[in-house]
Amino acid sequence: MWLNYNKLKITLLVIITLLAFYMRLVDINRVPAGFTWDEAALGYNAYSILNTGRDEYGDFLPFIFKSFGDYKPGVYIYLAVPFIALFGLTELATRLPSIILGSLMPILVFLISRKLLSGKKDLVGLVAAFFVAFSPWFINFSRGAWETNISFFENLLALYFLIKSLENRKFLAISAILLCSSIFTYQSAKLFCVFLFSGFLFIFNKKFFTKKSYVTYFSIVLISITVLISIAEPITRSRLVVLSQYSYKRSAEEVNGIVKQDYLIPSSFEFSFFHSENLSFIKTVGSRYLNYYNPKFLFVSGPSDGRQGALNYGMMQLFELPFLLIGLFFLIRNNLLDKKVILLWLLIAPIPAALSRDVSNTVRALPLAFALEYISALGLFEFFRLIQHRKMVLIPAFAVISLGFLFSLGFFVDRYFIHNPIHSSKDWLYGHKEAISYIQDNGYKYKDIYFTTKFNEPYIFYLFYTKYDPAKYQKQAKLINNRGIDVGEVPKIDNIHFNALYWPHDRSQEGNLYIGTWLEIPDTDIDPKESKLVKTIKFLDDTIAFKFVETH
Amino acid sequence: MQKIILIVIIVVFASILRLTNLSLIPPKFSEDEAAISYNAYSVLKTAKDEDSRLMPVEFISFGDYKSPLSIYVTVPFIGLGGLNIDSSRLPAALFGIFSVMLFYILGVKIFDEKTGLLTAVLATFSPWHIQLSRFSTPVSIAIFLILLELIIFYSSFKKKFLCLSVIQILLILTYPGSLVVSVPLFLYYLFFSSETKFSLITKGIICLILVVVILIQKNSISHFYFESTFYKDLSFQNRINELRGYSDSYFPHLVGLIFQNKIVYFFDQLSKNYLKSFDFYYLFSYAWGKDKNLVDVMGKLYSIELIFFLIGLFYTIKKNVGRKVLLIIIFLVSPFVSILKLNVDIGTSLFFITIPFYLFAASGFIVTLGFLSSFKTKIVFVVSILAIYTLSLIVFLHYYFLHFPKNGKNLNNSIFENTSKRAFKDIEKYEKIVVSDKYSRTPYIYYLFYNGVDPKKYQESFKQRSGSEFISTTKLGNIEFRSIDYIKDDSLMNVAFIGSESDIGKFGGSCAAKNSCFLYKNQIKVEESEETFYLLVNKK
Repeated sequence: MWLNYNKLKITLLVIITLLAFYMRLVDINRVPAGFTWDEAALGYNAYSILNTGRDEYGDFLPFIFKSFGDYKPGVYIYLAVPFIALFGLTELATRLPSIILGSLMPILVFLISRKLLSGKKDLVGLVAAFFVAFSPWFINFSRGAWETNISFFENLLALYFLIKSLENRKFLAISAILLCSSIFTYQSAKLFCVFLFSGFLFIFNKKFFTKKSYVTYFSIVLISITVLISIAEPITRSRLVVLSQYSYKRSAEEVNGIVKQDYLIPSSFEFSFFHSENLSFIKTVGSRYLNYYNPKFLFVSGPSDGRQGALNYGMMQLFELPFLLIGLFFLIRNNLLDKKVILLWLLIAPIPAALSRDVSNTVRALPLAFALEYISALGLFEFFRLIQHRKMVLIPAFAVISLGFLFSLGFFVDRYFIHNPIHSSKDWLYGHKEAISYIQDNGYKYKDIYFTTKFNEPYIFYLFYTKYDPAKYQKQAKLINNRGIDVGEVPKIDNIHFNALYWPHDRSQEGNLYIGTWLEIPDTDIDPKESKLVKTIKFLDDTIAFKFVETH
Repeated sequence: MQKIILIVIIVVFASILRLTNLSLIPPKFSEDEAAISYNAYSVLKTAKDEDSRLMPVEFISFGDYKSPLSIYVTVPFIGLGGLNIDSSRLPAALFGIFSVMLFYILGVKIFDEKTGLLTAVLATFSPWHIQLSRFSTPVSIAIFLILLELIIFYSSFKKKFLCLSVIQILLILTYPGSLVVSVPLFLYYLFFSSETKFSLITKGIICLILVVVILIQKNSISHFYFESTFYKDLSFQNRINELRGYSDSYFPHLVGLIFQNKIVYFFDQLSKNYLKSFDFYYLFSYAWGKDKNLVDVMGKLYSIELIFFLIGLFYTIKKNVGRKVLLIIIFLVSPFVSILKLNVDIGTSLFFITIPFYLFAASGFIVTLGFLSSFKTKIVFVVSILAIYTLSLIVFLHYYFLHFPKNGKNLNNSIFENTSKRAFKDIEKYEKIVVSDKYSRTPYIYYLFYNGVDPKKYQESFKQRSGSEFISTTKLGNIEFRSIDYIKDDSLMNVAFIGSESDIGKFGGSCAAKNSCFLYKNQIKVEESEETFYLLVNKK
């Protein structure tokens, strides 16, 4: 079968990949609606490495980048270097690694499903590749510079070699190396990689633990060492603490309320039995874990944050829902390799996200998308296999499903490319680019420029959009600790100050430019005698992003 | 013998959990409960409902068409126990206990003896089942009838068909929400089952009878399904237009027309409402704010049960589905009950999902037990699962029986009862009594219930009934039920005002200080908040 249709399949796969590339690149300058601090930091650090071989703080070719004090793993930055060398320091160049690897995912998914079904049902792989090409979840994270997307790609590749290692154990080592690389790409990948690897070894232990299983031991040691290094490093550990759910305990008022109703003292046995921190932790993590399988979240409402997907549109296309159920049914019934592997992936994927502080976070749960799309593809395949001999049903069913797909896709395009930018432009920090370009053009007129930190880390946008000389910046780079949020901030570059504005004080300073939010500089407080509004920048939903006021 | 002892133990536990402190938990005795009881009281005394209609099959009540069966079922309890909270809640509690037994029988019919027993245990200790059996709601009776219908469906005897038809009719009279589950089941039996050998004419007549009963109940059914639906929300057309405007700025107008229109909006809402019902968060962790009778910090089901439910479902699919496919269908159609609603209240509407849930969960446990080979592992497994289950149960009981009645949001309305009783004791003394409608939208029903007003007297006395969303009696003799506006009402002398902090509290204090009015304060303090009710009379 493979020989006969080989060419057709390759052609189809190429077409799917091109479509995927198109979906990930089209209108990239307008959608997403902005450019986040993290993206700017990745881009600027890559630029800094390219020009000086050092990061923004002057460290020579670091493994982990200090950035805002969130210590970014370095893989994405190094991947971006060649693109920035080619195209210069632009948003697109920064995003290209993610776009390209994201576009290659359909091929990877096809190869994985081919391996899983031992080359028998290639159509499943093709359908899965097709679904991946148009999956909202995949598309969203391939259109921005997301570390999680690269790590996801490495995980998929690692899965491919894991399955291959069932035939030839040597591939286990390649897979282990890929997983280690994934750990150095994205902070939250650690848990997933460990669970995937150990789960795989556990399920197929008979294949891996025989006489002379050196490769297995080598891989285990390699992964253990990588995880230990990444945990042992105090700076990354501090980041882990910040992000983990366990660091966020109940408020004193909440505990007090319980104590009052109970007539108990917090140290008593009853209190620790019914209302202990551990119990509430287990409950929270458990409910978060289940949240990721919520059909409403997956198919209709989607994420709560416009950066993490299309608002009011699920993470998958609604027409896939029946096929997801059918697929699950057949995945359970058929006794093929995919049952164990896909179910393992499905169950472990949300764990890292469930342990972190946010209620739902599609960034950390991204690997889940693969299992869901694969199962849906299997469902569609099995559905057509059921009706393949009934011509009266086959053609109408095909027509209905195609229409369903087209409509779903159209609806997604409408929601994601038209409405989402409007409603999420604030989340996407829209306006910073315009603000910096104004400073570039008019900055010379002012003694000092003050830029609000209401949206956090404005300095990185200044560095990024002005293509600030990295060598010059490294000399003045300074990060102060900010107690309110989990990362530090840079207070000053040249004559540009980055801090929260306090207008009652600032209005009396002469010859300065203030860039702040509408709350910081109320319209009624701009007195023509001492200050003048020179420009406003609005978000796409017409609310005010920045006000530029000069004092004289 | 052993079996009977086990069943008796289960029933004893079920009864304890459903009957203890019935009048105090849940703490809020709702308007609906009061209306059901008072109408039952009215039927008992006068054979008429509060609207003076003789033995009605349709109780208009607040315009929401109360379930006739649950009112008639309450009649004997009110007759025996008098008009009080206990007798009003007892029928639901008893049907809850009977349901537990039916869960057992159904489990035996569909799976086996062990699964049946375990299903009954799960239902006995189920937070959802316990909570929905402890206040006067038709859902408790409906689940009993649906279980009965399923049991009859799975058994074979001579009068099977007749029984099914009777239950079908009773269900229509009980809870319109149950129709999405029971009608397809009944029609399937009637037209597709190999057991039924009636002629087409007989089948037609049976359908006709059903249609007639449905027509008799048409107000109740249409109120249930089509009142406060999302498509009556007027803002949606504006929203569509706004979305279309955005689309038009990038695409040709046609694109906006295709993707932003009423049909798409409708479909989007339907799928949202349907999928919302399977929200794990609300099933296993928290309750909706709307579900007043449920503990909000607990889910409706225990998380540990989910694992066994999935195993049970998995195993059934893998082995042989057969007639168990019906359970899967019930599981999938249950959310249709409230699919058209603007605000989905899954606390009561999704309750039928517990039937497949507990059956599969029990079978999942038994299957897992069967997989374990040695006796030792079995013991370890059972003990550890039992430990987790018991812990979940204890935590639930702790929250439900200890915290729930103390939470400010669920304040006991005995405070209203006390205040109003004091005013109505000397009703003749006042020219008029004004009862605020802030505390409840239909305060008159509490007045009737708590004061045990003679139904005959109520039916005959002069009254005004009005209201857009809720029909309420606004004037009854010299009692008015309305909002209190003290600027206007200040001048009314010899009038007793009954209201809460927000109505009377603010100015009541100052007029009492000036000695220009008499203020009686009735206060209940609970830990988190306090609720005060006032009785205020202006002095001449």
